[in-house]
Amino acid sequence: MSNDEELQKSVESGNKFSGDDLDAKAYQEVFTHLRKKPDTNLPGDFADKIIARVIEQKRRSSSRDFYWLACGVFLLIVAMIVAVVLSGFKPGLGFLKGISPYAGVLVFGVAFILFLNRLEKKLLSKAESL
Amino acid sequence: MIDDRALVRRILEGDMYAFSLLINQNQKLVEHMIGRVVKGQEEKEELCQDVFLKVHEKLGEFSFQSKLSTWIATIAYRHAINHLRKRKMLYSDIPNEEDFTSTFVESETPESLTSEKDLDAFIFKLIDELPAQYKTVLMLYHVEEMAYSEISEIMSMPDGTVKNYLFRARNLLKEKVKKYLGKEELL
Repeated sequence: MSNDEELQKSVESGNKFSGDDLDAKAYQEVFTHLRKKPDTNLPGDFADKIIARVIEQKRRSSSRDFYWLACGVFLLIVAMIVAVVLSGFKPGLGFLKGISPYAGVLVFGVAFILFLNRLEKKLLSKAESL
Repeated sequence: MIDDRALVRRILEGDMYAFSLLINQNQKLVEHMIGRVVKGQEEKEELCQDVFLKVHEKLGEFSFQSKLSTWIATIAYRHAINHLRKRKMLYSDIPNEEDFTSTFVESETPESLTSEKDLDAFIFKLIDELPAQYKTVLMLYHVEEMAYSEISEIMSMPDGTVKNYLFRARNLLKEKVKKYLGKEELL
């Protein structure tokens, strides 16, 4: 181990040097200074400013999401119209005739899915609050 | 005091009060890290804000493999280094050892140093002239009292390199202060 390494360890562990050893004296000065906390001068409303920026970012991001959703829906409608025009497809509700005897089952199925969805939401919110 | 896990969970649920607690708890650490590489007050404040915005954005990815403060310090360190690179400021890696040592130690020491207060300011200026990695290692070790393992995680370098940087940075400062003390004794 070099003399400097030994000196650094010794000064760090709190040993005091009072002789003529300039290296030791210099290390003492350096270590004393290094332990001093630098000045801090961020403003008092620093956290508030960041929170305002987070809220602004969220607002921008949600309006951007809405914009993309609207674009998507618009393009979907355009694509549907183009597809209908090009294929000559004529919409009809004849398929409903086939399932009309099972209307009760259909209504039950939809109601059951909604019930499961509600139940899941309730259970999840309970689990999160634990 | 609220523990890190509870704090992170509340922030992820959208609790802004919890986020302001996180900012207040880590504000000084981030300011110290950014303050070592950026001097202007406005620029420093903006970079500190950017660090916390990034923390908010990435918090969902934090996996509690380390302390929350260590993770935040890592983000602050990378942000500071990226800033220096963008500005093409003197960052690179540690400069050529011999050249840097001789330039640093041989450069002129102000004659006007007369009191302990002056010496304090002088050492502060010397630290400022060190490469960014040296300054960061010194600050994390001495001011934030972090362990070698934490510093090595923040700076993505092995423990041995952290110890080496710490030793060399203190040695450089010592050489310069020794020159000053030698002059003082001759007076």
